[in-house]
Parts: sequence; C-alpha cells; structure tokens
Amino acid sequence: MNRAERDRLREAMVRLADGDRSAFSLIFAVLRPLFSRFAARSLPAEDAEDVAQTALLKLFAGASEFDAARGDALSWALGIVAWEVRTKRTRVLRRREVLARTDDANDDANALTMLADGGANPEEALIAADLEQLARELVEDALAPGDVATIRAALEGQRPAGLRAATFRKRLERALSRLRAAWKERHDPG
Amino acid sequence: MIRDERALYAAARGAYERGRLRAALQSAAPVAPMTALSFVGCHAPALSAAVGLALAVTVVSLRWRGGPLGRGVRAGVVAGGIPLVTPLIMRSIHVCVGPLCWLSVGTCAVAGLVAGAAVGFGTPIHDRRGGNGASASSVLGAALVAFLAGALGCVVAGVAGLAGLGVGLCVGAIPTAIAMRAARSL
Repeated sequence: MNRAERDRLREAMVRLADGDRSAFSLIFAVLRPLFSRFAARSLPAEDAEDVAQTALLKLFAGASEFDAARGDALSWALGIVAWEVRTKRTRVLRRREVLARTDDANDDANALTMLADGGANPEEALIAADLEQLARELVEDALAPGDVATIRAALEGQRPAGLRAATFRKRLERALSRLRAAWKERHDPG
Repeated sequence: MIRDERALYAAARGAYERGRLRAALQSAAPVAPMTALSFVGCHAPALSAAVGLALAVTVVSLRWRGGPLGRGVRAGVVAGGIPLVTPLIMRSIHVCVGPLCWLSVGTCAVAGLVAGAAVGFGTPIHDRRGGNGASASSVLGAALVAFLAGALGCVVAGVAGLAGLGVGLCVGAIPTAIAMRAARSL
C-alpha cells in the first residue's frame, strides 16, 4: 500500500469514526483482502480466514473510537489483525502442547495429571478431572500399598528418606508398569 | 465461523453500528449524576426524570448518528453544566416566595447566556475533522444538549426559567459561533 492509499484509508477511517457511513464500503474493500493476506502469512488457510474475519469485525466494532491523532489507520488496523493472529497461534500452540503431552505419556494416569494441569478449556479440564479420579481409584484399589506409596511420593515430588534415587526410580517404574497393566485390564481389556 | 462475503459485510456493518451505540451509551454516562442532582435540588421528580430521559435519548441518538450534530454533544454536556448548577446554588442561598421567582428566572437566562457562549466557543474545539470552525449543525446539536442539561437545573424556576434558559442560550451561542467561525477562516 503506497502513501496515497494509506492517506485515503486514514481519511476514510476518520470519516467513519465521525459517523459518515459512506466511508464504510471503501474501508471494507481495502481491509478485507489485506487482512486475509496478513493472516494467511502466519496461519494455515482454515484458521487464517476465520482470524481475518474476526479481526475485521473487531475493527469495525471499534471504528468509532479511531483517533487519527494517535496513529496511522493502517498500523492500527494491522495491529488488530496481528493481535488476533497471535491469539490464535497461542491457542493452537496450547492445544498442541496438551495433545503432545497426552501422546507422549504412556502412563495414562500421569498423562491425565498433566492434562489436568494444563487443561486448555473447561471441557478438557472436566474430562481430565474425571479421568484423574478414575486413575486415583485404580491406584487405591488395584495396587499394593507399597506401589501406592511410591506413586504418591513421586506425584508429591518427595523421595522417601534413606532411599537412593536410582532405587526409587526403579520402584516407581515397576509401580507405574503395574498401574498401566491394571488400567489396561480394567478400561481397555480388548 | 467463516462467512461468505455478503454475510461478512452485513456482520461488519452490524458490528460498526453496535460499536457506535456502545460508545454513545458511554458518552451518556454523565446524564445520570446530572439527573440525580436535579432530583435532589429541584424537588420535581417527574419533571427531572422526563428531562433527564430526554437528555439521555438526545445524547445517545446524536452520538450514535454522528456527523456534525454528534460532534457538538460533548461541548453541549459541558456547557449545559453551567445552567444546571447555577440555579440550584442560587436556590440554596435564596428563598423565593410566590408563584414566580424572577431571580431564578434571571439566573437561568444569564447561565443560559454563558452556556450559549461556551457552546459557540467550545464546539469547534471538539470538531474532530479539523474543519473550518463550528458548523451550524454542530452548534445546533451542542445547543440542544446544553438546553436539556440546563433544563435539569432550571426546572426549579418553572416554565419561565426554561424560556429564560432558551433565550439566553440562543443569544449567547449564535454570535459566538459566528465570531469563532470568522476567526477560524481568517
């Protein structure tokens, strides 16, 4: 966008902020493709279009508060779409982290604990809490008291006094594999 | 949710109008304490409520619509504070006897005159487009808002007080606005 186009956009934004509805179409026509291109540079196509449209709606919702004295209209508009892109990327990243953690953890009980810690939304948190409860019940019912104590100590980050780290790690591995087997037997017998 | 072009255009237009309405409602916030002051000081709750409602509707409508009329709203609210407060102060230090209190009426007229001058002087300051002084529409919008805001205080002086306020506003605003416009165009 060259200088003259930027000035035209600024002038149209000032008019729209002042209540001149005739400037609306011009601004829509200029910013619609610009937002789509901007979002497409940073996001996959399906997310980019959604973000571009959301940003456009937010821009128009706040258009009456645009103040030319505080900055250029193009910078202001791009600031809005950049913020939306950033928000979307953060959200996607957070979701991926949770999924990755779930995939990586072979031990279902541990994976669920992690999911509960970083639950991205209330639904996920609810599912995680539910599954965590199942895991706790399983730990209490299916494991020997020694295994339960080892897993509890590991979850609380406290190694029992007088126990070597390597020994504790081995005990924990054995307790977790027994937990995994019990979980499989109870919830995934096939 | 991804929309097609026509739906997006309509949604964007709707978002713009809702944004304007929200900003207009925010700009009407001072009307509440002004009306409360009128309630407390004028002892005419029905009239205070009616004028307060009229002021709120006017402020919101003008600000939402925008343009020259909307540009004068802020100046009108500020200027209207003068005839709102002055008769109430006068009434608190002076006891009127009889159906018509000429001192209150005179106070409303003088306060209206000062508010009119403030409208004529202040409207170009709020001209966001940096135009060549206050347009007639901006002054009209500001004067209407100032009249309603001032009326919240001048209800204490009855119809004669409101008439005095109206005359004072016109006498104060018109020459000042013309002078300001001439000064700006020099």
